[in-house]
Amino acid sequence: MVFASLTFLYLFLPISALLYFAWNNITYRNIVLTLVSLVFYAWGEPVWVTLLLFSSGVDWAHGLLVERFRGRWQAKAALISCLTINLGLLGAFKYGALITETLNAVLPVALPVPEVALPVGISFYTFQTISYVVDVYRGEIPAARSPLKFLLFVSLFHQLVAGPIVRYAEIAAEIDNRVHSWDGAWRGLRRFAKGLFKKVCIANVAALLVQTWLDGDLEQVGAAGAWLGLLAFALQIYFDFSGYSDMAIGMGWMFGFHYSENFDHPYVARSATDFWRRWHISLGTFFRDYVYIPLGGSRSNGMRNLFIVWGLTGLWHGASWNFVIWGLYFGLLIAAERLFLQKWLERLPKAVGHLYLLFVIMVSWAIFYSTDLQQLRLLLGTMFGAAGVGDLAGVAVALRANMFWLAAALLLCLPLTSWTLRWSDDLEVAGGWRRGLAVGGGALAALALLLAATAMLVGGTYNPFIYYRF
Amino acid sequence: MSLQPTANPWHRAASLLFVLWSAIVVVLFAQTPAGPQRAETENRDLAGLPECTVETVLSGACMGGFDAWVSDHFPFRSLFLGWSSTIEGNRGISLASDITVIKVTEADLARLERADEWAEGTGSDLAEGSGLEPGEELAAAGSGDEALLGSGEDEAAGTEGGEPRASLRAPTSAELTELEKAMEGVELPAEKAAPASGKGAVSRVAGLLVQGDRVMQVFGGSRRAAAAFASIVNGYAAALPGVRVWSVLAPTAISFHAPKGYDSSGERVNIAQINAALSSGIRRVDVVSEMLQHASEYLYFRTDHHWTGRGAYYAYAAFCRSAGLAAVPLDSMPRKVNRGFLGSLWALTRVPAVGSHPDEVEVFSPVTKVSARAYGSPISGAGRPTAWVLPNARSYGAYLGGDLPAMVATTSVKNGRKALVIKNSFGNAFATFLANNFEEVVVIDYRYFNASVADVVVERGITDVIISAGAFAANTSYHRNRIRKILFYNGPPPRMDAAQTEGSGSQAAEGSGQAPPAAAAPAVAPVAPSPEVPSPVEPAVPRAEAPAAVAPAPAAAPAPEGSAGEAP
Repeated sequence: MVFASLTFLYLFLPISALLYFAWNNITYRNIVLTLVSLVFYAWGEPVWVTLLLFSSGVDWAHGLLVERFRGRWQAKAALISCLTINLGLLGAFKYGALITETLNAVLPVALPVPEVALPVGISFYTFQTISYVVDVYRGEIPAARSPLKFLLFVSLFHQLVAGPIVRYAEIAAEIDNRVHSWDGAWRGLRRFAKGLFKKVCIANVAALLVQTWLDGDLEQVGAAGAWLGLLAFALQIYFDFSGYSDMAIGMGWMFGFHYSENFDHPYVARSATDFWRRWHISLGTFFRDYVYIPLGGSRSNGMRNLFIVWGLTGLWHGASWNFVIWGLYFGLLIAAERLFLQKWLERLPKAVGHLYLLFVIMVSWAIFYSTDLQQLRLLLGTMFGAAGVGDLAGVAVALRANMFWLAAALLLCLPLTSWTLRWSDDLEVAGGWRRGLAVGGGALAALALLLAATAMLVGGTYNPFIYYRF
Repeated sequence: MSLQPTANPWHRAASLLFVLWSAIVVVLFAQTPAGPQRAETENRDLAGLPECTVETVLSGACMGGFDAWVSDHFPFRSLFLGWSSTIEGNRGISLASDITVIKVTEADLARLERADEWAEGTGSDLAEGSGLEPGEELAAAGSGDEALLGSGEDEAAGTEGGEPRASLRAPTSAELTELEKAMEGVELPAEKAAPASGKGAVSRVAGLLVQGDRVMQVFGGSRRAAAAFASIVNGYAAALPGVRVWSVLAPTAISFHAPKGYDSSGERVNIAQINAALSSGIRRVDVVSEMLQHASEYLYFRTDHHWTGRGAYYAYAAFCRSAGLAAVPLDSMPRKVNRGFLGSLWALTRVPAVGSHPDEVEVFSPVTKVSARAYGSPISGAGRPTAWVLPNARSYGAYLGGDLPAMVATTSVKNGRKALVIKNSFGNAFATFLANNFEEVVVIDYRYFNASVADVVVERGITDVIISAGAFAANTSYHRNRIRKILFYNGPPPRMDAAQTEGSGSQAAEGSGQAPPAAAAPAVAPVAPSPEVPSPVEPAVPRAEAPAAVAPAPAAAPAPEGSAGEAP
């Protein structure tokens, strides 16, 4: 199931909440939450829900083993076995085709290319369980005794298919004991409505523009058209992904969980380093904590470690070489920034940093968008004028035909809602009628966002699911 | 509820607002009857609850079906659909004065061959409307078409088994010349010329003219072709005594939206010529004049080669005036507007400025009660129920649900009149309105119907036969041959003479060789089409059906997922 669907919004979520809040008992609530999460997953992956269960069972058992033999060689063996199984599953399901195709291309062999559909969310939940076992091994958290609670951690539908990548340590305490309040419910609903609007009313509309300008004949659209298409893609991927994270965080609030923020207005960053502190934060910290630092961080072989991390970050986004290039591209930028660029940028006016970041990000989305390397070369060429300036008149028509929407989308890239929320919180603190105004205004705004998104979903607007590759 | 008391009652109130709204929706869902239902206002069956077995659950079909059910039964659905149109329509400001030059390749041209299927949506709304898989329809229709394209062979084959009877033969060269005399002096009165629109340069490439966010087909009919079409209509009138025969030809967008300085009178002159050559017993229908009076309205899609429901309405109004019927006023019909249609001409050109500004589909439902059934050819048995109008479809398939070999609509009208519409896709939108004025409306797609129209007329007691197609089709020998052939499907082969060869060989003559007198060189210099690209007279269509019949539509349609074919 996906969040941006009428079935989820108006049947799954209300009924789950009803069952959940029907009885004030934490074990009951955990069981309900686990069961509805499995239904949620099986709705879209009726077969591969078994893989989710298998994976959870394996990791739960390994966690116990690691803890039992803590400090002895068996613990290390269990960790290695667990990593082998997890990465093996990820490799088989996600990278099998890429590996065999690459081997077939490079070596004189003709291996059969496996045709396995990628189970939704496998990259997210595999990373969650890996982080769990590693944390247990490091002695940072106790292993989960209860298989139910562990399954709840892995399968919790809020963040199962599109992140954020939640760590066990973040929510272990809340699995056992969490507080539900109307304050939390209201905060969560507000956040959820915002995320839903971002996904349905902005990302889905952007997706149509992307399709029009980037999926056709690039020579015809020329540089102007390619940049417009990439602008639309930049908006699509940001609003889709951060919208999903907003919805996950909002639902967490409603059900008493507190997930870390995953996006912090990345397009206002002033360097690639800054951007990655604001973009998909839970992925960045995962690679920092479980790959970069164990490899030695910046102390030994810093540059090597950096490129390993960025190559893997790229690869995580999809089983295709362009994603690796995309990751290494960021590795290169971040290395350059670390060596000299950051210092230069700091001396220049802030605007230069913003322009630099926006430019390198647009180029990065071109790499991200083109899963075919031939296509990538064509797109990059077109961006930089290989097909001429292109269809300026057509771009002008498209810009005019979408100008209100575009203005709204660009404004929402700024920390605008943070400002409004802060303002609204100030009003609430002031108390009295001001508090009524703040909450009442917020409620009407959130309801308007929800109804607008509902209308677009009922209207059957284009609604792609972009995480199938992750 | 067991939430903890809060220091802030406002938060509880705000949250309860959402709880209340969800609860209303859930309760309304719970009260939805599970069985199949019909939406009378939308004139279509709503999705029923899916059958869930182990197989359908494992394949996901059960869940997909449930999602469709939720979408179809969503409370306050029509209200939300209206809001969604409002939101979609106000994303920005649309102006259409910019001109783009496009390159159209041979491969692109091949795609227009499937234009009708594209425009009507090969996806869900077609299947929804007809109950047939798109490929199934074409396969059913294909064999006859293919044979027909192979010159006279099939007509010879037609003799076997059938007792000899009169056949509508092709006109001789001398007869055509005679008919052409009737066209002498047919010109457009100056005041009837369509208003020119737009500014700037225009590109005319391979028969398509792109201006800003609009694509048009360039007309290239000829006087001789007009005569040949008129002779067929005359033949129908002669063969069906006591039946009123009408010709209702649809002009295309070029007659109304040609850029300033571009001579766009060719098509209107051609239609006027056809009308002038109709025999004296046939009453004329002046579609073009009626439509010109409403030229500022949304009569043509910008992204598709068809007219809109509104455009077809004015043809219906003109027809009613000639036929002595009272046309139902436009504003008294249930009306629905669906945004987001990208039609055949967008699919062909992929001009982004066109794709960024999709069309609206305005659907009018008849004020009478209509029950339509779909048939193969000949019309026999009980048929199966099909949609007459799909008010929610975001494609030209909203009208009649697509192209079927035959359909019969029974209405609540009681006036003893029964219409038979012989049509291609242009007639679809037109035919939907006839349900307001006829007891029965039989719709036959001449491209797919392989049986005798004369038999249908006699068996069903038809009072009015209306030939309704696009003006391009009237000027294309394939289409004329089909219309001629199905009058007496199993009749003896027509006399082979000089004119007959026109049927198989004249495509080049009509299509690319002679500069048709009507489609004079545009005043604005066209972008020179590459020499190997055949020129304008819808050359696609005759070639179209054959490959389409071999390759089923889904594979052929250049479909960007989800943008055009889906009904909401």
